[in-house]
Amino acid sequence: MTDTPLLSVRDLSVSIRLGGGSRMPILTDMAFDLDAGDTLGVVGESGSGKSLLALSIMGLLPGVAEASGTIALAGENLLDASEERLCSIRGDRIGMIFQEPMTALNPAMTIGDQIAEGLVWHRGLFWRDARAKAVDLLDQVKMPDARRRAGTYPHEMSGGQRQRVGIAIALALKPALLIADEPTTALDVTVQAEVLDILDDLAREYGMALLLVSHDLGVIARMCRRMLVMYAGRRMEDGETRDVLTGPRNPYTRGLIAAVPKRISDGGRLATIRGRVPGFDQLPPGCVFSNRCPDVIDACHAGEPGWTSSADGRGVRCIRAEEEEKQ
Amino acid sequence: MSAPADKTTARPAASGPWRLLRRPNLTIGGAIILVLVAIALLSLVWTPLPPAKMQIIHKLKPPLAYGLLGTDQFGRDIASMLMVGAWNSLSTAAVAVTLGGAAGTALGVLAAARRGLTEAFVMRANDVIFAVPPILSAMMLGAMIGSGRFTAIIAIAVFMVPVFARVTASAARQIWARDYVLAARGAGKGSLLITVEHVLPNISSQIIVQATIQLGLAILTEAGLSFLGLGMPPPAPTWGRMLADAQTYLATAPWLAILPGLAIALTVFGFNMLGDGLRDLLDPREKGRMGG
Repeated sequence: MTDTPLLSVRDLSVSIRLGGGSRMPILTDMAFDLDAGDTLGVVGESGSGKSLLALSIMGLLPGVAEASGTIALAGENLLDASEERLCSIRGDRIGMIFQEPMTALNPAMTIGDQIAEGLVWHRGLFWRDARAKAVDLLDQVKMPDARRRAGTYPHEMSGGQRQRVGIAIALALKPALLIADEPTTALDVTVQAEVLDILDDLAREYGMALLLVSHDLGVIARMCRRMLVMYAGRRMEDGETRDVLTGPRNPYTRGLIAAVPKRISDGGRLATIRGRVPGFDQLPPGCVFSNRCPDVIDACHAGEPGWTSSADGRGVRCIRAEEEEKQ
Repeated sequence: MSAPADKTTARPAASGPWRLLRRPNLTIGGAIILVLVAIALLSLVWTPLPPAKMQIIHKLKPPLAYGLLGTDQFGRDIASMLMVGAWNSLSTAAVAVTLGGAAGTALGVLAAARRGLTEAFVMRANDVIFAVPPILSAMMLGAMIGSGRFTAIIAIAVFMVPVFARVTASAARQIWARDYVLAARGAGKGSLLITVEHVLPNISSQIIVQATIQLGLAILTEAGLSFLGLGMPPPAPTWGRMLADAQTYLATAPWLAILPGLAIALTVFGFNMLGDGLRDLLDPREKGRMGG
């Protein structure tokens, strides 16, 4: 692939300003590519910086956060873009589906209008045509009785229905890149499967690139061709989903996979990774996972291992991988 | 999940007009204001007697002795004067609150949308304005451009600006922190569009409640200005000046003071009740908190 990827993230760091002029790094040395029409899953425990990554691509970081590096959308660095330029990119080129369908819709506006307005502001459609298009979109996300539903308010719908509205809003402008930040976390399992199906179908149909943020390996395995494992604001491993899940090279990835509950229980306790994600102000010296890693060796504490990428399109951050490389 | 309206309909016992009794503030306040507005509007086309007509032979008659509510020291019909006074008070207060409310709301949502230096500047400027009592600014304005209705309106409106700016700024800041605003920004909307489409509709109930309560305060202030001679010039009857004129006859004709006083008190009471009732209706979380 010689053309520039749709989304190319390089050396992305995000830090939070603290009182007294100091700053706390959250994301460090993030990098990945996403081709048009491709799917990438970002997985990690709560607090590993997944959502912040999604927000930084949208240029919606909170005021206290500062990003450096490059986030290039079709070659254009979004971190250098003006707010005005970002406004025209958001929604139009990049769509986003939010985690909480309960709060991501304006309670004082009908859902039809909320879907239609992107078409009005970005595409210059008349409200009447945009509303008709909104009904089509509601149909596409399999909303029953779409025509009547378009005139209702968010409080009249269930969580799954609202999330479908969220998808319809994000899809309205057929963005080249769709970011879904834990789109199914707030839904129960059957609704979750339904929403994922809809998302999968439509992303395929529209040929959109999908960046799916989740803490659920099952969701990633089902939806994404490639995956990226994050821990404490760093990428730990990436590669094709199948390869990573069947042959994980980083102990953290192994831990995550082992922690997925199995259908046939061996009667014992559920596997876990001991300890919990450290706060960003108390990361261990050396490798950030060293205090929880089952395969830790002394050298792990000496310094943070770099990113090793191998010829098969995979990459990993682990001292053992580095050593293998040297040999 | 369910709308507040669902709770009301869930109780079968309260139906029809009886449902209003469960919201006594709204009902009583609404009724008082409705009657008042009707009287004020009626005064535009009909009064028992022309309010400025003097009949010296009938002067200082107690209520029911001549006309419905008696006459003042010049033999003018008090009922007619009160009716026209109602229009003068209500229209002045309404225009002042509309002007001040619009300006204050605009400043408030601007502060919430811009934050940072803009917010600090707007809010501190409002603190400065808030520190000047409306009577004082009316006197200054009166000295500059002469007293009259316009002066009273501007003085009251200026006083209203910081009140509305504070209420809307804090309400709008909460809306700006909502996920749907983040989603709207994610959809590429600028802050002006977000303010118009997402912030204003979702703070409108607070603005309406505030406007109702401030109308009561504006009536009171207008009466105060008229009392001091800073309101509409004679012969236009105003409640404030009727009260001021009545001071001389307090011992001999107390109804001259009692009647306009009662009118002012009832109006302010009505607006406060209506404001409280509207708040209960529109914003159930705020129930029981003090107004103002």
